Amino acid sequence: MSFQKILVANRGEIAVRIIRACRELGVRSVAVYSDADVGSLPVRLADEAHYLGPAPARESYLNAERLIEVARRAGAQAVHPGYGFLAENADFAAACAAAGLVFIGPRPETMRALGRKTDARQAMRAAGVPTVPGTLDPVTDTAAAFSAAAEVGYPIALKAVAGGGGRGMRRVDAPEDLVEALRAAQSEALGAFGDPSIYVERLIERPRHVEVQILADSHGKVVALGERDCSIQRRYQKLIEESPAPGLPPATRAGLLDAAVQAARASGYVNAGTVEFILAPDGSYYFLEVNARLQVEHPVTELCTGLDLVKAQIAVAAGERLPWRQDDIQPRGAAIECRIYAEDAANGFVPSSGPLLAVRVPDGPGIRLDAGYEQGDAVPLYYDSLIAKLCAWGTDRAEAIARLQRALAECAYLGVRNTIAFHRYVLAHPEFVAARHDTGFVPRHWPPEALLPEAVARDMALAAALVRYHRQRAPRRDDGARDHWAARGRLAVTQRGLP
Amino acid sequence: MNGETSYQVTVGEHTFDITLVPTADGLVARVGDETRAVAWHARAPHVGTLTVGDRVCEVLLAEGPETALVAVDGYHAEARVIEARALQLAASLPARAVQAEQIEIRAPMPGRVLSVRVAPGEMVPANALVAILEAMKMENELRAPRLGWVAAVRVAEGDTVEHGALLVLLNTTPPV
Repeated sequence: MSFQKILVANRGEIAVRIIRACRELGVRSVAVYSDADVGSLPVRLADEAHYLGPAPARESYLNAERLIEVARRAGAQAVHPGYGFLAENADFAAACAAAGLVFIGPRPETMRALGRKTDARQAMRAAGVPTVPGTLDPVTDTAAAFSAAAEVGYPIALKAVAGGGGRGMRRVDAPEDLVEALRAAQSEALGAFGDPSIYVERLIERPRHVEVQILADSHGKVVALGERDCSIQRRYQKLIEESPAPGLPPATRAGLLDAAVQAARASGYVNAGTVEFILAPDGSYYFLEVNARLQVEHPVTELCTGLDLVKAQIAVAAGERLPWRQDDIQPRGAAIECRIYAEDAANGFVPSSGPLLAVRVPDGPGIRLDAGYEQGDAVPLYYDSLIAKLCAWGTDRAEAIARLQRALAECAYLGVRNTIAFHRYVLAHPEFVAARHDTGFVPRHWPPEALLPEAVARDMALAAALVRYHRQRAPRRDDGARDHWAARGRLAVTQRGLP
Repeated sequence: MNGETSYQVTVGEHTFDITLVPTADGLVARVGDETRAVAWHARAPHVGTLTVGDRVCEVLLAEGPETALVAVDGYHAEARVIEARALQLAASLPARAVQAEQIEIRAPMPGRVLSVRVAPGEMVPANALVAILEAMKMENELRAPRLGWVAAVRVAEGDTVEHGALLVLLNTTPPV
């Protein structure tokens, strides 16, 4: 089977990424959009575009029924969910199948089994994959929590069984804090996932986040495409990812790849997925979870392996066999990705939205940019605030860092606050350069006292003064920026109470 | 003074006193002790090149009524430009009598109003909870910076608001 037309059930940069893969394969692509995304970049790039509904995701990109209806009307044979939205929704995958559409991703039953953390932990332990010491079942009452905590030893982490993204998670340092933490975790898990179940894990201090990209076809072949280190995070959201994981002993790396393949086999996994591990300072590693979808950070793996993961996903969904053996996968060099978010990095990463008045995109040797917006597009406030992913490849990590720094200095998204300066800071930090960082890097070092170098501020001041000087001497001239600012109103806002 | 124009420009935590002097060869800028030939060439809307001595750099810049958005070297900031004449004028005016003021409670980020805890006419003590804004999966409490009386409530529970949107207006004096 091969597809003539694929519906892309997403927006922003990942929709663009999938549309590009379709174009290269000669497959027609169908974009979808909400009121907030009329005329957006993926809509402009796709072969056709269909309206979904109002801006709130619930009424558009999360509206499974509407998406399936649009896919059928457009005559698509398959649906690519991207990441986020409905990508890991087993019910949506099942509904696609019921409507005669191929869901480009793992089977619904695999997603269900992996979605419950305690089930996944049991399956991994049975398959010989190391899991974090802790309970394999939800703790049903306070007494069970106390005995489980005493067994694994404090500090512990309480985690939501239905969880992810740090929600429903609590650190507990001593028994006297357990009752209150359990109550809080249960309440948060209930609110976020509709399920208050909690389990207990040992808390690993100063960990690194290392994950393995896997690709599995429907004929039983599984390959590991190398690992990624995603330790630069804030509130469990990744900001910088790289491959290979720096400083990993070869034996550890081989063990991780092998464990990931075991994990994929144990769950009957098909299509692209990521097995996440937590790496302790002593070099031991433990299974965390499987992300049953394409990851945001897949480009770093593509840069090192030379493979196109989205095209591979489409081929696997069409029932094709993977053409590679594990030995064929020989990653080269090093790649790093910086996620450029429309966020005020200096003020608690508060989302920013608005029109992109001027955009400067970097290119040159070793640079790859996956952007969801171009100049003139507006970043809406309704969705994830990712503007673009800037990646660099180098023959080694130092070259990748140098190329990224060079490219970041060439990059600008004027109109929204963004994380470019954050990336410049991290890439220059001795702890990151020496790969001594862990997942606590951002809260430990950010924001620095001085963010804007004086020489840069001086150039900005000179330019602003010169523009004012010339405008006052050519008073007729006006441009859109003034209207834009007038329409936005005054933005004299005090930022308070943000973590 | 032979066409000199002076500005005070604030960018982030930095403030510069800049004097632009026209010469036969173009503009010269005095910044602190330094004097350099400078030029601005607007290449496209919001895009230009800045020349400082023998250095040329790319600048993205969009002017607003009070501040300009500027990007240089991957850094983004807002620049506030005040003409020195205006500063001098303000300094020479008599100080205005202290007037009743209004306090604006604005949304510090885009989000959804979970609840509004005050109603028009009510007295609100300093630090009292005024509204709760759900954003970034968290509940953010917005509190009164000081004692006030509610002049207006501009949003309702469930409203989606943009960054900077006016939520509640407080008077600093009681209603008469």
